[in-house]
Amino acid sequence: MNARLRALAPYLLVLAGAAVLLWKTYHFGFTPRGDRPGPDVWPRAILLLAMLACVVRVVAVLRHPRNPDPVLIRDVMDNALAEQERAAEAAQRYPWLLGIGIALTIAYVALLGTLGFAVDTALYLAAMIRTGRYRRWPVIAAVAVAGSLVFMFVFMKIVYLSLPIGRPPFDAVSLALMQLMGIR
Amino acid sequence: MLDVLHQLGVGFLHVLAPVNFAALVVGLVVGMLVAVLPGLTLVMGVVLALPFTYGMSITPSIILLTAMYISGTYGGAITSILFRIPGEPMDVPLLWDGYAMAHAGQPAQALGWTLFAALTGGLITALVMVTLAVPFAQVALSFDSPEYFAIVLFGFTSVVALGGGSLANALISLFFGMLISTVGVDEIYGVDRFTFGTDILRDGIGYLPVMVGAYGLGEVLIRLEQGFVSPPLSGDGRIATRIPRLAEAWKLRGTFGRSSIVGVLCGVVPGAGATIASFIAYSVEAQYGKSRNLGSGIPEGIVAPQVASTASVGGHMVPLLTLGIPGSGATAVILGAFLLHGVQPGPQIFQTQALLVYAIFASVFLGVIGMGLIGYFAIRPLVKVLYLPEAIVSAFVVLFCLIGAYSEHNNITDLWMIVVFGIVGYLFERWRFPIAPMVLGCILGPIAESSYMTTMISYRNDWTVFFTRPVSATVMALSAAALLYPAYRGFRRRRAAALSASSIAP
Repeated sequence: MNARLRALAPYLLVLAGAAVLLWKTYHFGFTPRGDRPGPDVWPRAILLLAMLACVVRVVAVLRHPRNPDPVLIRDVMDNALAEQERAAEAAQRYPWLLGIGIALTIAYVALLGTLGFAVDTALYLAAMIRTGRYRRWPVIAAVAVAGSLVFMFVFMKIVYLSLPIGRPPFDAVSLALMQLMGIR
Repeated sequence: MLDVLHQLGVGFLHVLAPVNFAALVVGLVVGMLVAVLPGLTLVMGVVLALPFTYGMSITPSIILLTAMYISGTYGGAITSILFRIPGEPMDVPLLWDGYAMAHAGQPAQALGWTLFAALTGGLITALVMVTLAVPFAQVALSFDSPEYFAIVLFGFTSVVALGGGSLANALISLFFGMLISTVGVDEIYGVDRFTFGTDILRDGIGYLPVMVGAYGLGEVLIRLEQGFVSPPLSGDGRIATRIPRLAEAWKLRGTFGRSSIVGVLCGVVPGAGATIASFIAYSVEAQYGKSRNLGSGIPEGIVAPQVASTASVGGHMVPLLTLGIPGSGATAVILGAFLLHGVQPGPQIFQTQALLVYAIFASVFLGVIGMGLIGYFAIRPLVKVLYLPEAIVSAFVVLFCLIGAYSEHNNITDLWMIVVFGIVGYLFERWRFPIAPMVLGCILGPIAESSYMTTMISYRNDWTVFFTRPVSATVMALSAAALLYPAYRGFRRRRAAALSASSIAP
């Protein structure tokens, strides 16, 4: 993907999404009440303004592809933040770590009802810490198990939060731990 | 005034009750830890603390979150000065003079000036908050929907104009947040908006999942993509704080005064947070201060940003308490805590919940003093937390985010919102869309819509009412100025660049 297209992509994406949602606003099923503004007026105004902002950026990128974004605040802040941004840009990236992190979080949420909080959380913590490139397995295991149990105790016993216990056979683990901690 | 002092006295007694005092101390310590810990930000910390307040009564809840907010404005300064690692964006200006002074062999003096500045800024802001809040609330009692709409609009324009970066990107981020707030069943007509036939979306999208996802999970994903690489720590281990003598501080009274004003003003304006205050104060000092050596490690360069960032806290509490309008991410979470306990901040709160309000005021005074004491005596253990592996801290941050979202309704579907907005937060950061306008749009969007609709209904679609009522007209003019000034400045800059290019060309 060339640089100009990469710069345009987010705006084109927002523009397309806003266009679809704008179309949706014409299909809100409601009965108008006299001359009162309907429930479509406010979101439609927001969408039109968002589209206008996108068009402005698209035109700016097309006209001056090398120009950076217009910067607003005082120079001193611009320079400092730009310096930080450049440092972040220059930092090495690990997209596969990001992919694994997102996949693990999705898996954690998806499996919470099945595995129960204790088991799911211990596995998630261990996997996430390892994904973060921490390599001492005994520490990972200890932190994951202890973290899961402490969270379970604090939220179920002290905050009285009803955390998922899971489905058979995993619920047996949760129930045993709850009994051990005196959680009813 | 005597009545205010009496109420404040009662507020102090209330804060000293064991539960409230414990909340204050815990809030101060955790706020400072959060600001020091790598990969954690102040707003993130306040967000993560919210679920712990569900089981508390309202007073300790608000005291805990406010104390975190206060001490968080100081904690990040320690790492900026000692290790050149700004804990928060607001601590970036401290790198220039704070780190330079520490690097020149005076770390204790640099830390002392920062602590003294935070203490002074905090006490000044607490005084201003107590003095301003009651008259502000009395004026706010006369506000009608056009004034509320104008004030919210001003909040939107100021967060866009002051946020740094691209104006268009900030606007798109703001509109995205406002659009999120329209999802669900419309309050007036009872019509589904953008629900796509799903029950999950019919209840709407609360701003807490948006905040927790974008600030919490989103930030962790960004750091994870960078492999959790933290800059190496280069301190010499001899960490101490030397508070400046009063005579030394008196010489900098102009800096203290200017920066306090900047901080409080930036606090009162919705959208302009501690970061803006810190940078503007440094810039004002560079322009109007006596010393011309800013950036070389002088106390003025430390005092100005630190006074302003701590002074902005009390300023933020004024619109939050008197209008129910949060001006920053942290105050948005505090508003969330109010609402979760069934209390709506606004001008009436001074009548209906006077004890709570004055307990909050008193907690700000005590919090600032406590911050000073903890900052002075506990600096060594505080710095030790920097050595915690970021992978472990981040895994727990995500877990806090998820449990926080789950605990609001005991519903796993809320966790999906966190995941979605975590990815949105990551994409925003990658594509350089600022997150703050989205969050503010999401929070203030419903207030803006309801005040706009009420105005239109009450004044029979006469939109000129926004410009004919004195208060709303003035605020609308300020909003226009906030948006047009950056555009004008950009135009002048481009013209100057074009002129210099043409003069260089043969």
